[in-house]
Amino acid sequence: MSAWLLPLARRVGSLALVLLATSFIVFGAMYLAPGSPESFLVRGNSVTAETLQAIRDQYHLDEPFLSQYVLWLGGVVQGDFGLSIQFRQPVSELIASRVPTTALLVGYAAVLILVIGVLVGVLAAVKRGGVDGTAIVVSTVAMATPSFVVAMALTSLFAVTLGWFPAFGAGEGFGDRLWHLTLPAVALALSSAALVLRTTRTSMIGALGKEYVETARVRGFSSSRVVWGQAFRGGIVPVVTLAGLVISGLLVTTTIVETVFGLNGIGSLLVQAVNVKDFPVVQAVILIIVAVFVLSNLVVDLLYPVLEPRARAKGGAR
Amino acid sequence: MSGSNQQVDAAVLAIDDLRLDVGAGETAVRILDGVGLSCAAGEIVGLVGESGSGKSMTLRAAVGLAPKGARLTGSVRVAGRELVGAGRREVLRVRREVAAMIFQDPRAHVNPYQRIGAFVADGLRRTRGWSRTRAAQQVVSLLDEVGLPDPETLADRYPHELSGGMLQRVMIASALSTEPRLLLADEATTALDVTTQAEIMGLLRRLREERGLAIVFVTHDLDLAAASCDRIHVMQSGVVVEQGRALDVFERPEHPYTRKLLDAMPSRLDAEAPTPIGGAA
Repeated sequence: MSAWLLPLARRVGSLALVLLATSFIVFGAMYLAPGSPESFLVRGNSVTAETLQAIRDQYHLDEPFLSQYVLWLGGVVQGDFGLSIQFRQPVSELIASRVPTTALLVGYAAVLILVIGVLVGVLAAVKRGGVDGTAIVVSTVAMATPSFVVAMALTSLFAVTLGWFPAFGAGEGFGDRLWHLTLPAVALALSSAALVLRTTRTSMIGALGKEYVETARVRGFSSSRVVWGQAFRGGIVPVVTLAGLVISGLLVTTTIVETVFGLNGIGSLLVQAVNVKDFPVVQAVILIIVAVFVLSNLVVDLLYPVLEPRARAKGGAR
Repeated sequence: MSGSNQQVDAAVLAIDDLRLDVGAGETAVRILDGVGLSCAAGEIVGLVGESGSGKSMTLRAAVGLAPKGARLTGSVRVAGRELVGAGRREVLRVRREVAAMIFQDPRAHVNPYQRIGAFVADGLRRTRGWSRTRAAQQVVSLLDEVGLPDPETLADRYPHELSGGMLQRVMIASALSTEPRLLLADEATTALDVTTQAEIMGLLRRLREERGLAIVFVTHDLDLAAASCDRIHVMQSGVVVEQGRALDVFERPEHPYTRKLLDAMPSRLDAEAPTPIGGAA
């Protein structure tokens, strides 16, 4: 039991360390960035020195850098990210109200990425020939196209010309939301799905050439048993590692996609906050994105020995 | 001739005038050129030759495994079923019901992602539709039959936790699971050390007797073939150049190639020190 718990504790510890370092960098970057929050707040209006001073006091802007950081960090560990300068409302509330849209969007895109990427990747590896060639060309184009271009192309074709999907907004209720989020999810998923497809394809071609797959063929297993029951088990391992990175990376791309499709999620919130130097919001969102990254890496790390028996610790397996 | 015909009818494996070509036009290469071979129930037939002589290719033809784009002519009959020109259904049937194959490198040929028990049980589960529990019981008795100690515990292990010799026994157990009549062994002892090699050969001979298996044993080791097989076919460049009773071939080789093979045996070389090969120091 301890053989399994100890590495886990070590990983969680290093996770905390990464987050701490990130928080410092994020805080420092905002400190060094040009412009100041109070200049946004007064919006060029002439205000009294007292008002300005009140604002500077509220955000501890006159404290030295390190003590500003410590004050902020002290709040963060208690779930208090401060007050949004732009919205005059606690950052944690603001983020909580934005999370559902982004979570649904990223979840939707993740399903598309895995289903399309893995299915088509396996199909291309098994069939080769025309199917494979088409998959390679299409995935190359998809990987090379920036998501904002995809977003605009999808909008003009499916929303404006054909009118199948809405071009804007997140919708109400689950079904309507899915309908609204379809184009954004496709735009978000496309290049990642292509990457997963290519990785699956390469990995499956390798797996299908393995000797133990030949064994399965000689034993008279049906083609689908050979592919899904034997080759897929080993072929999927690198895909899982990649999928963890790719799906957590979607959070970054939501900044573009949510802005283009006018969705009120974490991504568009980050863009708005950066534009008006809403430091507390920017810091909180970036910290959350990094936390998701680190957590998904942890999950993939923990999953690896489950998927790869040969990687299991000698002491733990016996 | 009638005598030899009778023998072919009784044979579990009967290969006749098998030709295999790959490539087209100018670049066409004939891999097998009129190979004939038979193996009856309870018989171990050795197929001996150097790398590239076509012995493995001949063996693979018996389970319908030909390289991509290969053209086969002649006849390969397994338990009376013709495989040359046969459809996929017929080939699957032979693989599921009649023939089984074991390989040179069991570590590569046993699925590293499956526990030993699941790997062996797969044959029964996927081709006979047995339930997990029923197959698991059969697996324990199979692992026991091939001489593996403590089969219940072993079934829960992964391949990387076993030695090469143990894995080859696992391979044999999985081959036996569907009660084949023909066992094809492709260099099945080559990668093993001498002691393990002798044990595996002993196991194959025992199975031949207990189960009446027809075994075709491909090897480049004429010594080993002579010691373990009833009959030997010697192949060179896709042609069977000599065949006969194992001891006859071993003691009175007729074809010059067989004599060369015998002369190349380390055991037959003069006991003097090998001449160093000159060259860069």
